[in-house]
Parts: sequence; structure tokens; C-alpha cells
Amino acid sequence: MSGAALERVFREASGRIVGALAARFRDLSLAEDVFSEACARALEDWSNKGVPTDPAAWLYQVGARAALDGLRRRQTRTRFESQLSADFAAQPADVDDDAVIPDERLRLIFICCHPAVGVDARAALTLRLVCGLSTLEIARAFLVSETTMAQRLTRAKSKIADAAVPFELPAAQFWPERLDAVLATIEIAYGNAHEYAAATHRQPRLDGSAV
Amino acid sequence: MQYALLIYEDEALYGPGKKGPAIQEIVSRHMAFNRELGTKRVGGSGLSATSSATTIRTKGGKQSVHDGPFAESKEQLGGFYLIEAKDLDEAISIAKRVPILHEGSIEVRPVLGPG
Repeated sequence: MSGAALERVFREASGRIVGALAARFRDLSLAEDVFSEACARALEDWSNKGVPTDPAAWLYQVGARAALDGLRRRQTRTRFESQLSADFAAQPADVDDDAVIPDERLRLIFICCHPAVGVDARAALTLRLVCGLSTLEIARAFLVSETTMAQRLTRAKSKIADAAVPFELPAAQFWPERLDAVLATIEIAYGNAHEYAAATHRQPRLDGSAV
Repeated sequence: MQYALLIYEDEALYGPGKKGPAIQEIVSRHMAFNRELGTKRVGGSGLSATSSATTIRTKGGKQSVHDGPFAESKEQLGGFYLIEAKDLDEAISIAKRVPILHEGSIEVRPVLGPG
């Protein structure tokens, strides 16, 4: 498989995997980091041994393992972590990815669009985490510099972590106000993706997941 | 996880030195709210009027003491709650129930440190 093909696999899987990892470890930055780590390992591993039958499941499991290693290294030996390890140990090694990777993208969208996240960061964060666009691509779509966008994304992720924005879907009584933010964000994300795609003659791969 | 709920209102509504009739009303509403919060309330208090405030400023390694609040604004910090909440959504739903006389803002701030 060529580098470009691999990149496509990574990107298409990214929303589901980052979402599932974030929901499981309750940490967006960690989820993002270990997903990149898994992709880096995949580049090496797959060129030697070939692409696994289910690349997404492979990436998820390698990412989850890296996250657990990271947590152990950080010495956060809380009861929560031992619970995570127990959950992880209980999981089968290789099954089909719908069973392995819970689809947490909706949860992830609600987190990215929480009213506590700045309005200017919501769509960008959604494109980054749910759609797997690079910071540079998002910066171009929003007509700002890559540094500005990187800062905006970092600030949003810190806010989510520091203020403890919940990883659960909002309770029913919050849906009306929360849904507006989500729909507005999706509209912006969709619009920007289209403009960007038109400008660069690339397929707007976000369409499916955006709708 | 602990959050501070910082209450900003126009203190002029409570009369000079916060001694007007409206203070009775808001205090009894806060007392009712305290009972409602139960163990979720970790601490908190109302604050005396900003006319009683003194600000110590540190600049260029020097400290100076000033009369008045940190910032002059239309709404002033008038009190705070320290609450226990499981996440930001719970903190926000509690903050929405904090008594306010007419209009004002509640700032929700996670408390630093292992919460």
C-alpha cells in the first residue's frame, strides 16, 4: 500500500479511533497523541508485515496500549487506571472493528461543541478530532496561520480538560441548547470543508461524517 | 472536582454599603439555596461592598496597596460558592440556580490542584 493510501486509511479511521480512545481514557490530547503514535508504528510495521485485515482495529488497539503505557509511565496508579487495565485485559485480541472500536464520534462532537469551548474553536476542533484534518488544513480552511490555529486548538483542548467538560452525552434537558451549537458547528465545518476542497481540488471526505 | 462559582452583580442594587432592602431578599434566597445544595456546598460567602476593598498590586518586584477593587466595572464580584460537582455540566446546572437579584453573571472556575 502506498503512503497516500495509508494516509487515507489513517484519516478515515481517525474520527472513530480518536473518539473511542478519548471516551475510554477521558483525555482528548492523550487520544490524539497515541493515535499519531499508532499511525507511526503502522507505517513501519505494515511495510514489513503487510497491512492487517482490519487496519482500524489494529490502530485502535496499538493506540489503547500506548495510552495505557503512557498512563503507567505517568504513575497515575489510581483505581480508575486499574479498572481500565482490567477492561483492557478482558478484551479479545483480534475481532472485527465494529465490536472493538465503539463509535464515540457523536460524543466527541458534543464535547467539541460544548458551550464552554470558544465559538471560534468548535468547528476547528471538530474537523481536527472527528474528521482527522491536519492543523495546517484547518488553518487554511479558516484563513488563519497554522500557528494561530494550533494555539486555538491547544487552548480548546486545555479548557476541556481543565474545566472537566464531561465525556458523557448531555442529559435530555440540555439537548435543545446543546444541539443548536452542534448543528451550527457542523454547518461551519461542512461549509469550510467544501470551500477548502474546491480550492484544492480534493475530495471533501468530510461530507459523509458531517451529515 | 471542585468549582468556584463567582457571583457578579451590580452592587448598586443593594444600596450604599450593601445595606439596602434588597439585601434581605437576596440573603434569604441564598440561605434557601444553601439548604438545597446540601453537601455539594463546600464553602462560600457573600462579600462586603467593593467600597471596603483594598487591592495589593505587585509590579516590577514592588508591592503597593490601593483603595478599591481590582477592576472597576459595571458588575462586581459580590460573593462566591465553592461546590463539589462531578463535571462542568453539573457545575453549570448548579450555577444556573444561584440566586441573582435582577441580572448578573456567574463565573464557573475549576479549583486548581487535585480535585
